[in-house]
Parts: sequence; structure tokens; C-alpha cells
Amino acid sequence: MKRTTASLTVLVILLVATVALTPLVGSSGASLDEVYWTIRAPRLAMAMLAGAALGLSGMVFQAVFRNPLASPFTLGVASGASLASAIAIRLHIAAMWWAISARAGLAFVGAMATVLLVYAIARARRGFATSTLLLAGVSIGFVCSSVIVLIQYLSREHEATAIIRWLMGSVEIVGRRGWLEMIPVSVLVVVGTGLCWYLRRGLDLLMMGELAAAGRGLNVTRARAAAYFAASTMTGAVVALCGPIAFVGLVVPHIMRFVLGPRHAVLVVGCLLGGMIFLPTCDMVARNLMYWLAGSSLQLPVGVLTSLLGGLFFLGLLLRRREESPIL
Amino acid sequence: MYLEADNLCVDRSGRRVVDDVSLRLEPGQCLAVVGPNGAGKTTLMQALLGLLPLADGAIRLNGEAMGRLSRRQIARRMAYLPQNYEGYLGFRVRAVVETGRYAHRGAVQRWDETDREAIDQALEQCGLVCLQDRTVEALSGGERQKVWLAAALAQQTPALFLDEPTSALDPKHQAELIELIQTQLSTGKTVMLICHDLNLAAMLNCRVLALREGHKAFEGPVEQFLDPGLLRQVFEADFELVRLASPGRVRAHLRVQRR
Repeated sequence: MKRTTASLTVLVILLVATVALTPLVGSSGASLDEVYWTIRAPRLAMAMLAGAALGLSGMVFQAVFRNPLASPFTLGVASGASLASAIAIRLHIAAMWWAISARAGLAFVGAMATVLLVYAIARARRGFATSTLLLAGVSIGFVCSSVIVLIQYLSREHEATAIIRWLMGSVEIVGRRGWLEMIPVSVLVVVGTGLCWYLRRGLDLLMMGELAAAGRGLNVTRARAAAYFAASTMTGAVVALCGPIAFVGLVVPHIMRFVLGPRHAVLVVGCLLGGMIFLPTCDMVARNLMYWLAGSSLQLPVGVLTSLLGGLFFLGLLLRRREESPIL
Repeated sequence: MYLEADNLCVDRSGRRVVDDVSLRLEPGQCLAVVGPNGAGKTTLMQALLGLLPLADGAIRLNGEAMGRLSRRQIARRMAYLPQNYEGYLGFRVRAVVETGRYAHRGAVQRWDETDREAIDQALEQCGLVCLQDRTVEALSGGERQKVWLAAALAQQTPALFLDEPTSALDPKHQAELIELIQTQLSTGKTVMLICHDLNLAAMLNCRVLALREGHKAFEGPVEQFLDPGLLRQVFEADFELVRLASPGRVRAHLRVQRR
């Protein structure tokens, strides 16, 4: 218990440091006052929101599937959003509704449609078995990816570039419109977080196996569906705005499980904090990497960095894995 | 707790696994379900716990139809110890035992004094007090089995459903587990267990329900079941009966012929 409190305190301190320091790092022609509220602060807020949502969804998916390789994107949420986004970019759909661009709106619809489709497939085949759900998600993901490639092939060069840039995932968001765009996303993330908190004991039970969980009094089907939709909605909302930022939802829950242990009452808080630290920090590095290395003003999308780090992280886990260790 | 099952039929993957089985489980009773592999023992137990859809038949718990009870209501009356646990991913012993209180406290309510007492008592009964802060992965198979049993005991239900509780345990842990079951029976709990070891049923002096290919092949006191002809009919194996020194005690011994 003491160790948990200490770890959470360290996380809170890191979070405060992240909020205070990351927007100050960087080079620009203009003064800091000018850049701060229009560029750096909204970007920090978006990164925190996305990090929290992805970290928490990753935790939920890993618990529901009892699989350390499950991530928020395993069930095709990101593929659906990406496909819808690619279509919107190719067809130049640029309408706005309040602060929400039609592209983001379509991406969210695409994400949720995929979630419902995967769920319906799994339901139709022997009542919602996790393996069916996983396979349905993976195959829908493949179908979406191939259609995206087809759209890219049929696109003009600048459209294809726009699609590729979107697929990299970025938390770049600017000015007043950026702040407004974040409002609906943050509402969904807050609701999803509340639901995850409510489900914390159910998630513990699901980790111990379905039969055991049902024997202890958990309605497994209902708990799993609630967890699945809470996580997918949060992920869908974030992906619609930022594109698929890979590996955050994999790495954050892993580190948090290692530091804080398996109980979800603690993990929910840990993954929330962890995501809000990890993604803004990665974004700060991605923004400045080219400047530090080559003095260039080129800013990398954060998705490039998280993929790189995530891949290396998993290799590291694999190499130092003990023979009996249950998590990878 | 009074459980009545009438003409149960359960299908799995389109095959009838339990066929027309009726049984009564009365308060304080010990019922051992025996039978060859694939006879439908586990399926029957899971159906009785309301975990499987019925193809036909009805189950009533204290007179109420099983289908109308929520999972938590069922879990307050019957605790289940499954045969294999699929995962435990780093949980500490005490955290696993705490999950037994879910049926009483639900998703959000905080643990109170009764919960802590139930958890402490279950840990104590299973001799896990000094292991409570270890992770489950760090324990031996026998110790793990005691952890799962402790979680079921923390549920504080009038009935326990144990699926092969002593298989895969060494003699010392077997003895400990059997003593635990005897203690539970002496406090008036109902116990239904699945076992391959007929002598376990004999030691606990259970009623026996023998299944064969989903059908009920025998139901009655264990002394009546320990009959070479009957055993051969149910198991397709030869048994030799051994009379122990203490009067009235009979044990079955598997006879293997060398070809």
C-alpha cells in the first residue's frame, strides 16, 4: 500500500512537471507569449487527453482479453477511423459543424461503426467469445487497411500525402478552434473514464478468468460489453481528432502494471496519469528532435516517435523476460 | 440452501452433454458427482450454477427459478471453485481472496468490517495468513488451489461447488483440502464436488451421483456405489474392494491387468 501511494505521488509530481515544462521547450521565431496559448498549450492539452484515453483503453483491452498484446486498436477502432478519414480526405469533404470538422466527425462514425460491426460478428458467432472478437477485429482491420491502400493508389499525390500524414498520428492542434474541437472529445473521455472506474472490480475479476468471475457474481457478458464500449468510445474520439497514435495504449498500461501491480482500482488512476505524462513528453521530444539533431525546424508527428519507442520497448520486454513471467 | 433440478438437458457445440438429469441438493448434504471423462460432470455443475443455457429442464434455488436470479444473487448462495483457472497475472493472495466479496459488495461499495473478517477468516482457515502478500505466481500448485478455495470461502455462501478440488495435488495438500471440506460440512454447509477419486467420496461419506454419457447411472449412498459390478458398469474398469480395519470402511482399489 505504501509503495502504491509513493508511486502515485511520483506520477502526480511528474505530471505537474510535464504540464509546467513541456510547453516551454522549443524554438520559434515569435516570443513565447505568442506561441504559448495558441500553439503549445492546446497541443499539450490534446496530448494529455489523448494519452489518458489511450492509456486507459489499453488497460481495459488488456484486461478484457487477458492478453498483454491487446491494445486500443486491436479491435479495429483505428482502422475504421482511418478508412473514414481517408475517404473524407480523398473526397475533399471539408464541411464544418460547430468546431468539429466533417473529417473528424466521419472518422468517429467510422470508428464506432467498426466497433459495432466487430461486436455484432462476435455475437452472431457463439455469444461473444473473446477469441472470436479478437479475430473479427483483426480481420476487419486488414480489410480497412487494404481499402486505404486502394484509396491512396487512386488519389492524387497531395491527397495521398495528406492521408499518410494523418495515419502517422499527431496531436498538432491550433488556436481557438483547437480548444473548441477538444470539448466533445474530452466529454467522451470523461464519461469513458468514469465507466472504467465503475468497472474496476469487474476488470480484476475478468483477469482471473471468465468462469471464476461469473462464479463470484459478475455478469461477465455485460461487464465485458460495457468495458469494450467505454474503451472504444474514448479511443474513437481521440483517434478521430489525432489519427492512430500507436503504442501509447500498449506501453503505458504495461509500465503501470509493472509499477503499480494488477489491481484496477489503482491502475485506472495510474494509466490516466501515465498517459498524461507519456504522450506530452513524447510530443515535446518529437517536436524538437530535428532541431536538436540538425537545427531544422521540421516537427515530427508524435506517432512516429511512439511507434519507435513502443517497438523497442517490446523488444526490451522480450529480452529480459523471465521464463515464468505471465506478462509477455 | 435448497437446490432442485428437474430433467436437465444441456447441449454443448450441438451435442447433448447432460441428458435428463434430475437431482435435489438439501442443506448440509454432501454430493459427489463421479463418472468417466466426458460424462458431463463439469457441464452439470456449471448448469446448476446457472452458468450455461439449458436445452430443457428447470432449476430452482430455494424455490425460485434460476433464470430469474442475477449473477450476484446466485453468487451469494453458491460459491464455485472451477477446475482450471485461466489467469492470475500478478495478483497477491489477499487480492484474490478479496474478490470473493464481490457478490456482497458489488462494483462500488467499500469493503467494511464484515468483509475484512470474512477475508481474514478464509485466509486463516486455508492456512494462507503468512502467504497473503505473495503473488499467486510465486506459489506452488497446492498453495494456489488453497487460494482459490479461500476466495470461495470468503464468499460465505451456504453451498460450495468444487470441481475436482484435490486432483493434481500432492498427498499433504490433498489431506489439507479434505480436512477443509470436512470442516465446512461440519458447520452445516452444502457441498457438491466432482471427483475421480472414489475414496474421497468414501472418506467424506457423500451421496454419490454417477454420470455416464450424460445420463444418470446411479444415485445413492457411497456404500451402495462401491460395488464391483456397478463400478465396472460406470467406469469400464475393474475395482477391488478393500475393507479397512475400522468397521464399515470400504475403499475401492483400481485393478490393472498386465497383458
